Amino acid sequence: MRYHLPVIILLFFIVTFGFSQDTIKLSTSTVVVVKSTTSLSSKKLKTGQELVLIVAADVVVKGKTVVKAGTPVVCVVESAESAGMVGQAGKLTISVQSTTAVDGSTIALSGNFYTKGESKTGTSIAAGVILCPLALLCKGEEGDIAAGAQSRALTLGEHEIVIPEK
Amino acid sequence: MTIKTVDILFRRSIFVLYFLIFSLAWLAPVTQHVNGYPAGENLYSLFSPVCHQYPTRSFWIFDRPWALCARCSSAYLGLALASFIPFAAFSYARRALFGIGLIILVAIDPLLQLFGFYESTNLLRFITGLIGGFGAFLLIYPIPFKQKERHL
Repeated sequence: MRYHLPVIILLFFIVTFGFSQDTIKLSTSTVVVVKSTTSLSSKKLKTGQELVLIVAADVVVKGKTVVKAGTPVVCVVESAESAGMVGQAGKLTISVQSTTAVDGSTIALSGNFYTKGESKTGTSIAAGVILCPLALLCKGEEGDIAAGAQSRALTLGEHEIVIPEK
Repeated sequence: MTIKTVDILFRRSIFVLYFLIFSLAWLAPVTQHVNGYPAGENLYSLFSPVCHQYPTRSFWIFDRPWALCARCSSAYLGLALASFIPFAAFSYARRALFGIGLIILVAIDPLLQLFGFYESTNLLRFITGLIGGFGAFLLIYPIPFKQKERHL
């Protein structure tokens, strides 16, 4: 009987503090590093197509991880223009949309990946006029984003993230 | 105007230019932290054509990455600091050769990383960038380091 009180007090502390959850405020414009996992090309992608990239590094606020590295990031191809004739370069813009916090809530993001291939318009026209008109069919370079390329995305709005204590 | 005057002007210009670039790199996140988004975005955009700006390969200040990666930042700092060093009187050819040697030495780190041998660290990037900056200075600096007073 005499051991009951300490045990009850111990249980009280475990229940109160052991399983408590921290709430962290993720403020607006917090940097989230987004990384591509595969190479992306303006030749293969279409405008409006949805892509999944990943978070490159943990997002830590007040010593707590609110978004883990490797979490999928939803992105949309904002514009994809393939390289064209007369040396026209390809362009690719990918807009970063959202990711998921450790508590499962969706975090809206703002950011983009942009790339433009090398234009060969001058060379194509010069060669087409001087040497052979077929040179006008020469295409510019595609807009490519290499695998592992990173970009800075910022959070939109404030979010309350619930972090379960271990 | 003596060569010495030209030398001093050249060195000072190099220092001001490259130290300004280095300073703007860390001013971008500081500006954004103090004034909030979108302040500082112009600086990030300014440097985007010259550096990949990968955040995990950059130094961070106030939870934001610098506008230049660790290697580029230190390369510009290296260029600025090299303008102070009174090197021995080498001919330009020897100096340039030494500069190229340093740059090749520095290129080993990113190349090994590119081919997947290991993942470099920001400290290593900083050191190699600094050495590369010194190498670049030796390459671009056309005036003999030590010479007698001579009028142009």
